[in-house]
Amino acid sequence: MSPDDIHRILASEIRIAPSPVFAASVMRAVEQEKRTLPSLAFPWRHALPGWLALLACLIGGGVGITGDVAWVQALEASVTTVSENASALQFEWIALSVLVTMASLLIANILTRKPSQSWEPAAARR
Amino acid sequence: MSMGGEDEATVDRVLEGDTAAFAVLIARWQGPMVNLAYRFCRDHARAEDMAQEAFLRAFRRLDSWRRDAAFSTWLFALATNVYRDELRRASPETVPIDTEMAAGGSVEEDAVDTDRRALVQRAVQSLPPRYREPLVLFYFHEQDVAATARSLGLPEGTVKARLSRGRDLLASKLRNRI
Repeated sequence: MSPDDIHRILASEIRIAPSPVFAASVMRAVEQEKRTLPSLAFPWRHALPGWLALLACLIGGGVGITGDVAWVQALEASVTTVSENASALQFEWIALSVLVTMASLLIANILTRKPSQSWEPAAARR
Repeated sequence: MSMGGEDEATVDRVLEGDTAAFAVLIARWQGPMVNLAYRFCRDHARAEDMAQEAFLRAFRRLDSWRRDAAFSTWLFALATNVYRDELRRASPETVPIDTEMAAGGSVEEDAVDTDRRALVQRAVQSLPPRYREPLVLFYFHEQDVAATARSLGLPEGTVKARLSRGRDLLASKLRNRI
């Protein structure tokens, strides 16, 4: 067989047609894929400028506060006042109500969680 | 609107959450995708399975299509990777050409054109992947070296060299046939 024969045969390749159910089968697989896609990841890269700005503010604020004795004394007085007021308001009951709310939200979240999707082979979908 | 523009608009719709729009891409490209798979595996049912896997991977990675190349270029390159992986997973061993040819039958049996065609196809399948893939894609892309190189992610010079070597291998193994 000559190279020309080989070229002619390869260049005149017979074309096949996809089966009528092929497109529908692929779309079913795509829809299933869509349902099982993981939730979007947090965009850490895009949030990086914000994190850096926050860090700079905290460092700058920390340096400013520790260098000002009068401000530190005023902060101590404020904290003392807040703790006294919290005691007067029976803070432990507020804390308990917050805990009960969190527990109820957690239980509701667990009970409404969807079961995980299962995969079936391509041949079975067709 | 051109086909490239239509593809781009459809991809945008899918990326915006309209999953059903992906059916338009499937309808437009299912023929070439299944045919390309068929040239790799020579089995209609398996070609459809491989094409389905390629479409699924395309759906997952649709946002990685850079608009500097045609959608079809990106899709065929992705499909080529899927098909290559599938064949590597399913048949890691490449059958020696002489062994494969021996299974092709006698000279008399191969005298008709369909047998010659089958003989050439078997010979192509028996080539090592580095020569088989450029040959398959070259004829799939209607003998366009640039498109073949893009699908394989290789320089055009490398593709030309592998095509030449692949043709030499084919010719030497088929010279005394028919």
